[in-house]
Amino acid sequence: MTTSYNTLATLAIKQSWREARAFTVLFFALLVAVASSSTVGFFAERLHLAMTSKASEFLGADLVVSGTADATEEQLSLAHSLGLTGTHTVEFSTMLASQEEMVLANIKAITADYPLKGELRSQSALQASETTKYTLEAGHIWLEASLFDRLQLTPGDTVEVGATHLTASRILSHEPAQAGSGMGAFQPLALIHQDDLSATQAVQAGSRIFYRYLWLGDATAISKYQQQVAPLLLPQQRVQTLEDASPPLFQTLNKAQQYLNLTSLVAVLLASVGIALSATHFAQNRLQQAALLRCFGLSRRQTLSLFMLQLLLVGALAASLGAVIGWGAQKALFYMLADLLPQWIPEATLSTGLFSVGIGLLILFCFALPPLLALGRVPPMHVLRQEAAPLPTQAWIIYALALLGLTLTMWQLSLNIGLTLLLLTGGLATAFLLGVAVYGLLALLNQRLSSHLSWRLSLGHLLQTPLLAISQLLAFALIMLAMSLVVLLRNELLENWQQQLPKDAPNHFAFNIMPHEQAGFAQQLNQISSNVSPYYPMAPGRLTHVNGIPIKTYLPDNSPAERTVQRDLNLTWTQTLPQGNQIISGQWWPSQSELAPISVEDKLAKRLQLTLGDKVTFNLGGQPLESQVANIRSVDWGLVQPNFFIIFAPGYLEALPHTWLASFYVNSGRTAELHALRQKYPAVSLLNVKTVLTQLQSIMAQVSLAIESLLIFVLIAGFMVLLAGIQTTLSSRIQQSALLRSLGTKRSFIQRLHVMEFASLGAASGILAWIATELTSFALYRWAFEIPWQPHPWLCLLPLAGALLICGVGMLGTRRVAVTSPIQILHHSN
Amino acid sequence: MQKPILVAKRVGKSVPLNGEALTILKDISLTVHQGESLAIVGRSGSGKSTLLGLLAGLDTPSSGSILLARQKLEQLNEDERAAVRAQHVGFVFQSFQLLNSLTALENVMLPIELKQMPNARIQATELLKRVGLSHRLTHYPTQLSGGEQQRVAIARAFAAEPSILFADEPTGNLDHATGNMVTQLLFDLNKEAGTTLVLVTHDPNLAARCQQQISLEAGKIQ
Repeated sequence: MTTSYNTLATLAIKQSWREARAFTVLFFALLVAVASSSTVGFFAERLHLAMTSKASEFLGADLVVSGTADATEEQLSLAHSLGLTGTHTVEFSTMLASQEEMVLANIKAITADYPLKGELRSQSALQASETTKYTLEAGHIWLEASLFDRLQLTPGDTVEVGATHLTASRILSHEPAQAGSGMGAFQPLALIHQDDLSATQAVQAGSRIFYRYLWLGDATAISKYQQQVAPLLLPQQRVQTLEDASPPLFQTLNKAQQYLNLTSLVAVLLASVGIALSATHFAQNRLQQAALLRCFGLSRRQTLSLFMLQLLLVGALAASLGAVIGWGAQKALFYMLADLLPQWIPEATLSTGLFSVGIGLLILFCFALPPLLALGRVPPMHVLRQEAAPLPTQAWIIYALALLGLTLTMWQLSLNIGLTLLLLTGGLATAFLLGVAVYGLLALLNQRLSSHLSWRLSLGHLLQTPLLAISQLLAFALIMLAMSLVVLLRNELLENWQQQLPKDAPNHFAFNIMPHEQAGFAQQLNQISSNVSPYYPMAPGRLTHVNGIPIKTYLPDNSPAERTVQRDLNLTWTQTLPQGNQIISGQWWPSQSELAPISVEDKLAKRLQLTLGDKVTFNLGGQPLESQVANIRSVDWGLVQPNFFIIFAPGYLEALPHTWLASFYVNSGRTAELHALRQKYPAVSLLNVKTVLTQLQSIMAQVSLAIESLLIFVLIAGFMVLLAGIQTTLSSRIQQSALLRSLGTKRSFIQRLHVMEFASLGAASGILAWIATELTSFALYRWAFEIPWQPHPWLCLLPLAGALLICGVGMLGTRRVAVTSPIQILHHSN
Repeated sequence: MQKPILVAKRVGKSVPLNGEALTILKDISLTVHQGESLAIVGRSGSGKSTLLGLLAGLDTPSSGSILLARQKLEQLNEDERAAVRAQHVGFVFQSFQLLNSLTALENVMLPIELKQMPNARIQATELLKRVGLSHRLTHYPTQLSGGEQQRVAIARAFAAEPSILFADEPTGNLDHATGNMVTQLLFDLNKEAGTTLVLVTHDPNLAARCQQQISLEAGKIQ
């Protein structure tokens, strides 16, 4: 037969248009799948870009090469050859002097284009608003508020910086790279222009200078530079990227990303069930048509092509519209979040939209193809004898295809093959076991309830075709599983994040608290702060020997630990392990020890190649003290609290001169009280880390809102799928109902039958969903989100919720059955 | 003497049922020449529709041989048989089998378009005029009465200019008067186009109008 594909295409278009109603559910299921996955895709992409750019504000650039050595020519020319934009800063410690006071400060010499990412904010006076309008000019110095306080200056006064005098013109209120430099730099910060650097005469041979080269470029160039610069690095240099700059932020970002993907995956899964159900319905209703076309002489392939074309048309339309809706939805979402987000957010890319459309078409074909293939296999005899069913096929090939499609989709969306395989195999095994259990239950019900007419009629649909009933049960259970999982994760993940960063998380450090001032300081601080960390004593000590070998000999040449041992370390002692610290090996204070037991931070231990039992000698105010490594611990540096590389057991350092250190929370309305505290204890340094926290909190707020708005999509998808499931049984229900009504039963009786059937189906699905949700959440918490899992007693409401939901949707879907007159119904069913 | 267009030799059909072979047709032999008409009569369940399906190449016999338009059907695969159907065969069904999404005109145009013959619209309009439905061209099947639907189906059956037309109870769903009208139309068109007609019927009047009749009982010719 020479029928051209043009003829088939024309027929397909005509039929799709005229039979639009038949495609309603399929169209909307796909629309929801693509709309939700593209909303998430677009949103996550832009959020990721926005967050990455925020994270790079923390660093001040995309990549930083820093160290006590200046950059080499090779490093610079490599960056320039890759097209990177750069600037650099020179940092050193020096005394700042006013007419009244002298204070040791950390000076950062910058150029006009600093920072490359983020912004410098300054104030004209303490109460004035922050602005980004001003750039630091030569001859000027910007000081943090505490320096103005301690030097007793007002903006416009002159400050002595090394060998030169500069005008302290503005108060430095925000400097992006402060988080990147870590909490170790406890000296207050001042910015000067690099043109004034030589005049200070601070940079001399032998002086301790810290160079920071900041680079900006596209992701490929940056990653190339990161790789290629590694062998060119001097021992005193290291590369910092966004991940080094803010690990806690990245953990949050990754979890948020994972959650967003999971939510969209759930929407896609739900839509898949919807597509499979409505495609089955579509195919069943087209068997006769397919047989007729075969009678006309169309080959199997042509027959199949005709229906595939229809599906492709509807699919392409739904998927494109879904992507447009997704684009609009994320636009609206960002518009609503405008107050929380940075002003400029990178635009979403077309490829994300195309990817979502691709996902949509993939699931359409994987889930609609199996039922559709029946249309190609329908024997032409079907047109004469309807019992001539489609030829059986290699079923496993089709299911394998659907499974493959699902795996690919899940992998793409979860970005994690391990998790995908776990969920998939777990899901299949659970579905199989539960399916068998439900099959058994139905067989039992069949025996027990067959004597009750109303049960027999209401469960008739389920009992007569147990396999269909099982697949429907599993589909409904999957919908409920998906919905409850999303709600569950949303609540618990958010709670988990909130716990990680409570609202009154410390936002200031106080250090240099003299022992005699500590009690008074603590008392006054308690009046203005609701959350003060424990106070830790701090004494300086220099590491001199490891296992009796002088440190200079012990360390290999150009060791990365050189910088650590060249200066005094801040040592503390405490009986209890600080919050956020975890013992990796060894014991938190052995009961007996000849030498002073110490606890070493894991990364430092690695750099110094220290293991348990190693003897470490410190020079403490001229006196040697031999200690022994009792344990190695990890430290959560993301927490705003005093953190230490080395902690001593109590009883060894108390006699040394020391100061105290604490972190605390003060809300923004208490500036005056804070100022008073600063006035009363001028020697105490207060460091504000509020900005970092505010940024982190605003990011979390964005993510939470995004998550909440996504729930709506998932719920719509679930609802559509329920309707689709019920639609597949509509014609047989109409027949049964017509028959019963023609036999004289009342409409209310038929409605009651439906209520009983849907409620049983819903309750059974609810029980399955309950079990499956607990199992899945356990797996997800354990392996994907790494948060503690506990049973969720409220899930026992799922059977009730399932009964109500399926009943509600079922009655809505079958309302036509009960309200149409029997004659019309019989006429319709012909 | 016309050449035979349809020859069945010792055709049998059996299907497996509960592990045993259920015989539906046994030893059916017949010959129909170009332009002739054949009526297959018999009670419900006697195997009439199955035989029609086999003769039209919708299914293959379990035994015996069928020659349709000089093609041995049992030697062809499904797609090759489809090609034979496309070229030579037309159908009229008891339940009309019109596509509800297409208008009357489009239903008639369908086989012409599928065969990629020219002037589909003109030919289909002519045929619908011939069956007395020129005022119903743009109506959908659901807007037509049973008799009108069957007339559209007949127009469609002749549209592709088949050399042999198979009709399965063409008047089975129609009242007596309408049935007569449809029968008349079928035979008139058959005569005009010189088409061979094979029909299955319960209606003795309809059977009597055919040149040949075979009666089936329990799958055998009486």
